[in-house]
Amino acid sequence: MSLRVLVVDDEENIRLLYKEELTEEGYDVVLAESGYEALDIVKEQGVDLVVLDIKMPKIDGIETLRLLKDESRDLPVILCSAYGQYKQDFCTWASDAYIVKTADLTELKATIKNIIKEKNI
Amino acid sequence: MSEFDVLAQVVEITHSKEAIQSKIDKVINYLKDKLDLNGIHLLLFKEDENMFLINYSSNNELVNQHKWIPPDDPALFDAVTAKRNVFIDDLRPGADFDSELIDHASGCNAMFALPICNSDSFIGVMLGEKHGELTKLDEKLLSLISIEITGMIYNESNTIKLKEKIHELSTSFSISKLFIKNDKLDDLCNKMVEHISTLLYSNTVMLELFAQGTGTTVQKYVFNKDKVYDLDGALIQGIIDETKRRCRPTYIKDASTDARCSGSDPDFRSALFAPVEYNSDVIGIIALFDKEANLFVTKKHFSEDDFNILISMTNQLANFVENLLMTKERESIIKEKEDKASELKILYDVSKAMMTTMKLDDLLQKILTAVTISGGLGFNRAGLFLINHRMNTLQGMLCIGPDTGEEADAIWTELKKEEKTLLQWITPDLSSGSRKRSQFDEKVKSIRIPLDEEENAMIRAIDQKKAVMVTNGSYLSNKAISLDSTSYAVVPLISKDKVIGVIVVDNSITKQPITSDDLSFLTLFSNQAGLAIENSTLYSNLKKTLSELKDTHSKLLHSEKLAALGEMAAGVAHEIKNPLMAIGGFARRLDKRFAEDSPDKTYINIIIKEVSRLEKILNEILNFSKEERENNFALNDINKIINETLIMFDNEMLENNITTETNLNYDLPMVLCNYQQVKQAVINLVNNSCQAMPRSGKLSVTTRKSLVRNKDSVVIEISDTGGGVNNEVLHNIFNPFFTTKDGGTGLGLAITHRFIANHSGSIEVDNKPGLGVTFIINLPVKMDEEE
Repeated sequence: MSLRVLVVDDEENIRLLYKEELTEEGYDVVLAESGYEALDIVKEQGVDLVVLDIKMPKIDGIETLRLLKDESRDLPVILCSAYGQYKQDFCTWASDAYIVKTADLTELKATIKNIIKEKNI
Repeated sequence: MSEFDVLAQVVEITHSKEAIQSKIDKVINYLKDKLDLNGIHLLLFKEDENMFLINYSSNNELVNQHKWIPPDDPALFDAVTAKRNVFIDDLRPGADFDSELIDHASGCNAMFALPICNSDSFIGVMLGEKHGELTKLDEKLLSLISIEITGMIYNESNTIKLKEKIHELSTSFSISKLFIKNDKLDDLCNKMVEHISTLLYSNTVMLELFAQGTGTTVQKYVFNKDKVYDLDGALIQGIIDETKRRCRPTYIKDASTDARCSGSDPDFRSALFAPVEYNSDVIGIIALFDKEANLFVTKKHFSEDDFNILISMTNQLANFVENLLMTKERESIIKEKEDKASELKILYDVSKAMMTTMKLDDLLQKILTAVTISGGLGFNRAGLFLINHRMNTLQGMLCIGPDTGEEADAIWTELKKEEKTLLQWITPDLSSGSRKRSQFDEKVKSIRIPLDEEENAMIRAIDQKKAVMVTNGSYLSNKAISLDSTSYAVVPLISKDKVIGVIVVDNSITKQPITSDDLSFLTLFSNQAGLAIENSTLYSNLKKTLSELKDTHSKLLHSEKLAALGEMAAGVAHEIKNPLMAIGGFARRLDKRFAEDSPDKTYINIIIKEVSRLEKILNEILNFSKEERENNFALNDINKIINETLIMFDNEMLENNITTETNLNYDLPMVLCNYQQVKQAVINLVNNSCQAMPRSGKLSVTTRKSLVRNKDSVVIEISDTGGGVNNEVLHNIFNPFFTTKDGGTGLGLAITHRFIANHSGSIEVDNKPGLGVTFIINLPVKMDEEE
């Protein structure tokens, strides 16, 4: 059974890109366009890993991250952002990883694999 | 001729308008003839001598002999003692009646002695002798004639007394007029001695004036009619000294018998000495010597009346001197007041003019113009020196004054033509470059005197904070530029009890001495000038600071603009980055679908490559903004950061009734840190404390120096009385999203921890559950390079 990865991003094209790329990697990819939708999916369906964008309307990735951790402290979350400046902070004490968004998804794919391996999911 | 005719003839003579001497002579001779008398005489009584003098006689020889007869002469005896008419018919020579007035040899056998007197006074006796008998009718006739002569003499005496009184009054009036008309002591004294001599028939009058306080003679006024006395001799000077010492008049009625003159052989017969008293001090003595006899009165001694008149004169003189001195004092006070008013006017004008400028050069020019202009302080030349603390020297700033006498004449003549007030001279802007600079000015400007130089009047004035007057010395210590003035004054310029420089003045052209009044006024003026200079300097500093502030503000604006630009760039980059990611991502997906040799793959690769290049550019832009924000390390004052933070919470703490106690060590070293991060860390801690004390409490902030792992550190302690943290959750407090507060984000302490860690520092918690919590931040002063 393939691992269930939730991709949270407000941009449809990005969600599509993630879905295609990660599906191709063999993951069961679920999409959410906001933090609240992501929380619902996590609560209702359960996921193995979340790829979370930071800059989003309504509630941003940071707030969503806090809510997700409240819901499930052990749920691995990879933060993705166009900004690199939060990387140091969030890898240390908030998310499991922090990836600067780029068209080349090699780093993301490798990070997912590492976390799965580390956490033995 | 009947007795009646004789009497009628005598009455006619006595009432004629002739002089009394002539009338008496005529009566005597007429009686001798008509009554067939052997001789007839009129003896007048001289009080001073207590003798009778034969003033008139039918025998001229007796008058010419100036014959004195004692009152106890047998011929006069009853007439004098009993004041009654004496007629003797049986005159016989013998021891019981031996009078030289009676010529026994001529064989006279009758005589008469008739007193010339009234109930109050005794004038004299009319005496006569006759051959043969004096009839009862003769006796009656002679008695009536003696009454007529008595009346005549009394009338004459009264007339003389009246004339004397008139003389006394008119002379007194003249003296009084002297006091009113004269305002010069010399004139008054000269006239006074003359008038007193006239008034009291004194041969000599001397007025000696003494200096107040010392008592030494300052002036002597003498009026001499006839005889000259030894006024400076020991006798007179001794009496004067005694009168002065006792401060009471001395009356020597008869020097020949007076004990004070015994053994001195006085050259005067009678004298009066009266002190002139002012403010319990004897300021003079009036001395009178010898009274002159008048026509009728032969007294040569001063009387009690004379004495009283003299006392009254001295009192008037004392009053006059008092008035004169008071007038002089009043005049001097008025002058002093006028001088002060004029000084105040000058000071007012100068301060008004000084207020018109804040430019130091202009101000100095105004100050020295006021010191040298004739309507101002009027010195010939003036220089101004200010202390240069950086160089530790006294530095010449400006000098005003002519170089030579000729130049001075030319300038002063020119200035006189322009009739301007002081204010008009110094009000206009004087700092224009058109002024002619004197050599003196150039010399002064080149002067630098070390503040520790000894033997320099200017440095002495600075050290002693008071004016220094130099009457014989070189103007300046530097001989190479010494000027020709040998007399000058230096006053310090003082502002707020601090000497900031000196003003040097001289009168090298006019050679007029600098008085202590000049110096006092200059000192007063220099205090005002000192304040004005200080104000001008402060104003200039303020202007400089303001300009720096403007500069900083403009730089800040610039940097804020840059920051805003950075923010904007970051925002734009983000917006571009997402679509770019989609383009790049899908291009990569397409790329996988084309065969390696497909020509379309080349195009796809171009898209992938260009997107990568754009992403790289965007990342550089975003990274730059990040560096700008995060790597901004500089030396910062931790106390300043804390004070700024506390100010931010003022209102909140007031509302929550929180008191603050700060114990900041202001000797802390500057810490190399990111200002924003440290400030944010402190803000977060203070914010937590305030939230822990919603109703009331106490916030304490302490800073101190510390040594951690052999490195200088600064410790910040922030304590509250908010009840502390439950020990069970204490280990979570620095975790992100951990919060015990409703609505808290749980990021405050996490961010604080992160920021302190960025500085290689540490943060510890001293938790007292139920009481409060203390956060202890330790920041190394300098981070290790590898860190």
